[in-house]
Amino acid sequence: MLAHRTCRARALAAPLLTSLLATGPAVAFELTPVAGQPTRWPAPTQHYLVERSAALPRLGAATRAAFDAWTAVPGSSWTAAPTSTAASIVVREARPGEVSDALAITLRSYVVGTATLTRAEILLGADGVPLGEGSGRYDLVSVLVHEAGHALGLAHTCGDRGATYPSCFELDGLPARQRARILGAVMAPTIALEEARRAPTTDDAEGLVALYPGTRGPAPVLGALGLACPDAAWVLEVDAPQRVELRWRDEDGRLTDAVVRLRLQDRVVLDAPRGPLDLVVDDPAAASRAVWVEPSVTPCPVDAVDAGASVPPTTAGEGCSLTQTTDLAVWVLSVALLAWGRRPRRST
Amino acid sequence: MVPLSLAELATESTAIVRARVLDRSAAWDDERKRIYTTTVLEVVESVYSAAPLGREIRVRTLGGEVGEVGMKVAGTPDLKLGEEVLLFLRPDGKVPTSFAVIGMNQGRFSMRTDSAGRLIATPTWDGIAFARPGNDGVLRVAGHETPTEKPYLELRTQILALRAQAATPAAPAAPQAPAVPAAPAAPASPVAPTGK
Repeated sequence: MLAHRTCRARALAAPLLTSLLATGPAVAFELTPVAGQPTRWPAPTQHYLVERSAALPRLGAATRAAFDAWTAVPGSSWTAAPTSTAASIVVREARPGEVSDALAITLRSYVVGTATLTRAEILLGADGVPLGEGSGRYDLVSVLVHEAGHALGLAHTCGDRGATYPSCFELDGLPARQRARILGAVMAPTIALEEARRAPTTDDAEGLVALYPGTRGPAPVLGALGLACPDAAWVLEVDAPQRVELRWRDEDGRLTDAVVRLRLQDRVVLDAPRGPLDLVVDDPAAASRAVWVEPSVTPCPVDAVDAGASVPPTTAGEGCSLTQTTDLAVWVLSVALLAWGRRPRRST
Repeated sequence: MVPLSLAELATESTAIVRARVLDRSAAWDDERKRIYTTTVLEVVESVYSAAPLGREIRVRTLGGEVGEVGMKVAGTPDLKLGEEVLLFLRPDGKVPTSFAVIGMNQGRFSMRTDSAGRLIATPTWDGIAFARPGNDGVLRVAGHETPTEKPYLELRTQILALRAQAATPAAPAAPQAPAVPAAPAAPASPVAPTGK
């Protein structure tokens, strides 16, 4: 529901608390070491090539969506090859007998000694396994996002009992959030029929950052718009020259495809947020000037705030609350989001 | 990865062996496109074989290192020198003298001895991405319905029963007959070689 009145809020940034959490949530991603060294590309900027497939007519579009999802990690770029010779990653349908017992495999070639990747092939299509989209199929984009993760150098988030990382059989003993990180990642080793996991989670992105230090990883999440006021709308304004993204998460905390990118002086009204929402900025150092957030409805009962979230200060009896979900990001900056008052409009 | 039950592993195998890794070597295929590793194993025990096995068998797996080039596929068995494993095998499609492991890592169990001296077989899931046909849409962790760690002798008995069950045609005229023939007597020692 669109709000009819706007809280006179001087929101978000000023002075945004920048208390970096001393200990972030444990990671779940895993790399694929060879002789102690992770396999990775010389640079996180490789080209892929898709071979036409009669059985998978949407393979090209699905592959593009999959690599675009990884390219969302700032500093990395996985793009279609301008020419076939420029491709280091090949995606194609498997030939008969080439892939058995698997939805897909990713074959990685590397230089012995350095573990530097030189080529990767993603081969799709075990006999009789339905890949595609919709009912009765394994979601092709999700499978490709997973395999692309392997092609970039990532392993699964859980594996054998006794391995260095958590066994898939022993997750019940882990804290719920760690378990969620393992199972919610696109690099989780399982996927169900018709399940879609098309966007790398924060943990997946952290894995890419660990592999490629040049990447900036998942952009710092300043905070998340909780559903404190499910009927409220929110007004956001960008007040600094940097990219700002609003990224929605599903109810399991995974980033969805829904992203709104804002630039300086853009203004957006979010009508009844669809779910938890991350505010992502390129430059955390400038974040304090980046975004103004105004809950656009009043009053909003304080008790509507998620009890599990940190409740920012509010003026009694008025205003909505912006909650933070500190478990969702690499660096989660505590936010003091609601300093009530008026500030001049930038644009409408 | 399509998960295989123990019954599928048992019945789709042409050979099921407990074996120890003696040697391994990698080489390019004839087209020089793929590197395969051939592992030589000493048969400690032939649990089942459609044809007589020698004392040693060869298992061919995708991936390996030749010179400065390495290839790796997540989910492919990585058999280490000296380790003992239980393997579910079928003939390799390209090299008749070699076997392939069924279901990639699913067809490989690691063997260890527990504190009570029992031989324990542990399934290997490393690198396997299971696609679980979840009619209810619920994400399931791999392994909940697939083989789990258990004493080797118990597993061996189960495998043989499954093999026998698969080999027994439906016999409605004999309702009193046991559905599963009695399993062969367990060897006295859990590590006693019974290879043939």
